[in-house]
Amino acid sequence: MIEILRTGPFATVQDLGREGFISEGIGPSGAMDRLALRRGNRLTGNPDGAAAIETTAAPLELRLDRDALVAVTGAEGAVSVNGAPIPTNWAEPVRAGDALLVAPSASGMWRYVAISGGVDAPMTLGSRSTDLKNGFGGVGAGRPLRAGDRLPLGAEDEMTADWREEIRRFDGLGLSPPKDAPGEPVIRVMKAREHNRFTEASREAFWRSGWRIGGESNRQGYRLTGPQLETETPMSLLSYGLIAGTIQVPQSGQPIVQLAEANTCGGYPKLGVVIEADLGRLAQVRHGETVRFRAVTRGEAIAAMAAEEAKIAGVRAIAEAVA
Amino acid sequence: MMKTQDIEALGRMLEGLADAPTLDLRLTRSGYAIRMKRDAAPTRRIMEVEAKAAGILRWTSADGDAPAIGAETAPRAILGFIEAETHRIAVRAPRRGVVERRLAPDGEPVTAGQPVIALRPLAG
Repeated sequence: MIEILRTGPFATVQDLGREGFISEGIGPSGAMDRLALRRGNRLTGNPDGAAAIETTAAPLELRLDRDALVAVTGAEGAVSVNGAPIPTNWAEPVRAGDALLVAPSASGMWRYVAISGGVDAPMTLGSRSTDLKNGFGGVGAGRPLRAGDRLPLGAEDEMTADWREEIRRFDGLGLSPPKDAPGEPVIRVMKAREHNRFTEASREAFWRSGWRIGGESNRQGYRLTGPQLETETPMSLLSYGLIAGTIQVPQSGQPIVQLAEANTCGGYPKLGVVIEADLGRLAQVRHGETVRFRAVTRGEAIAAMAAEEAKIAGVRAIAEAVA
Repeated sequence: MMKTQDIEALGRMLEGLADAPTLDLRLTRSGYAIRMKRDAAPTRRIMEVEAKAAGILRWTSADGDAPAIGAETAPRAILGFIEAETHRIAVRAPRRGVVERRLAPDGEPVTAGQPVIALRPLAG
């Protein structure tokens, strides 16, 4: 059992989303930063697809009724157990009754609280993720968490229990912090079908300019603020299927990037698609901050994701290194 | 003549009394008289925290500040890290105490079992 002691309005149960229902009008939903969720699951000995709690701009405090490993990944910010600070990207052995406090993100947007055994919210269409837009999944009715909620905590399988025992011997274990400080994020994008239908000036402006993440941004998508973009001639497209990462340009001339709760179809001209490896990095950019885009080929996109997969695999390799 | 057993018994007794705050002990045995008196609490023995694995020592806490000499530590407080290429473990306070001194500098490679920080334990 996970008891939610304190939360803001944006904390939800998320996993890697539901596959296969876009044609029914139901998108995948799931974590905004899937790589961060997977890191948390690896650190706590869970399978990658275990559900965790996604939280952002408000404090989240919870208590477990059994011993477990917890890890907070994603956006940086303070984390403490019974008032004692612990790092992010860190597997911490906690006791039944300990209070875990996850402060609002200090830099970046989305934080993930992974717990060994996973959040055992009911499966809806093959996923535990909360779909806020369609109002289902997660703790029920697709609603965010509330103080007083009690969520079932999944049982640890043998591998997870072994990993927890291993971590307990070291009294916690985490990922080494990255060596280089991150600069202004450069997000890699593949050109989409209508890319060349935009005016040359618009195309150049898109690739050259910094784009500010607009205020009306949420789990469905982020609005970008920058130069006006326009196609050579006004375009009216047949509706097409949408996936997370698609950059559309509506009549306003200001792009929208679809994210975890992307619409399932749309009709605005598409400039490009953010590659899978950079979706989480884009999701982590805060409102008011600026990103740039860089064009990559399909081959580069695949190589970039393979590099991310290798990093994720490295988290599991630690298990073998310390065992 | 004091017997070996008596000396051993005395040793055990003194060991047991080492942490007593005050003391006034009179002992007469085998023709000897011993008196021990202590009016102030003894300084507690310094505790050395060992590295649990090999790696590079980093004196930084979970929230970034290095533990200052003389600072009070909570039980399980992270006082530093031992970093490997991909992962790190922590140097943690085993109980409530005060940081007495660091036994190795930041950036130093340490081995498993090497004492890295000295703490003076506090009651509670």
